[in-house]
Amino acid sequence: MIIKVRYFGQLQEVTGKSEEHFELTLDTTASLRRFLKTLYPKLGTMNFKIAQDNKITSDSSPLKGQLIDLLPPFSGG
Amino acid sequence: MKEKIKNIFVEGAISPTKIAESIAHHQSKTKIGAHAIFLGQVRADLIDGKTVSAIEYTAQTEIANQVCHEIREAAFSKYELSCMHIYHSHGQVKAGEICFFVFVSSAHRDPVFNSLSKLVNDIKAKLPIFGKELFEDQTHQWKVNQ
Repeated sequence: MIIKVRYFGQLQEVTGKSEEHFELTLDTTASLRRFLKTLYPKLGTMNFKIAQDNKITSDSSPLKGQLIDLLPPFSGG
Repeated sequence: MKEKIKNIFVEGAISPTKIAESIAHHQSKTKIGAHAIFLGQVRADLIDGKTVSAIEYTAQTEIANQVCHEIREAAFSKYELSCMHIYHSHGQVKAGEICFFVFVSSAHRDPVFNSLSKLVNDIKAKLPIFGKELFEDQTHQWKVNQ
């Protein structure tokens, strides 16, 4: 499955990208998290949430979204 | 009736004129007896000898607007509110300017006092908005909410 991963806030600085595409077969968002932390070791020290198709999901969620967003800690207001 | 999802984002600072006009729009709603307003303003924090000159906000706007809609609906269910207006800046806002505007109205004062802090806290905690604090020397750091 081809997924689009978008990076928000400081995660754009850590990865050097705002978005990229991957062709992956992974079962859960936790697996995706591990994959991305291997690709970008600096992500290992950072907290971030993962959203699939515009919904924030837990790490045990099946990976089925085609649009994945990595969201660092929120700091609005 | 379910309201449609509103876009809370305003490009740049929220002007005092917009806030004044928003207040004025309620003069025709004569069942309202109480308003409460929260205004978030960008602080010129001094961090390690450098002063914050502006904050640049980015967001995952689809999720932010959806989550804000849920927060809004929950507040309407819990409190006796007549109306509610929520705006947050996107892009750059200079120190001293307004970046966040929450405005609630009701027949009486208790619902507006009680709902306002809950709304502000929920929005700050649950909306994927990211503040980048820009210093006068062009360096930056990522804002962390207290």
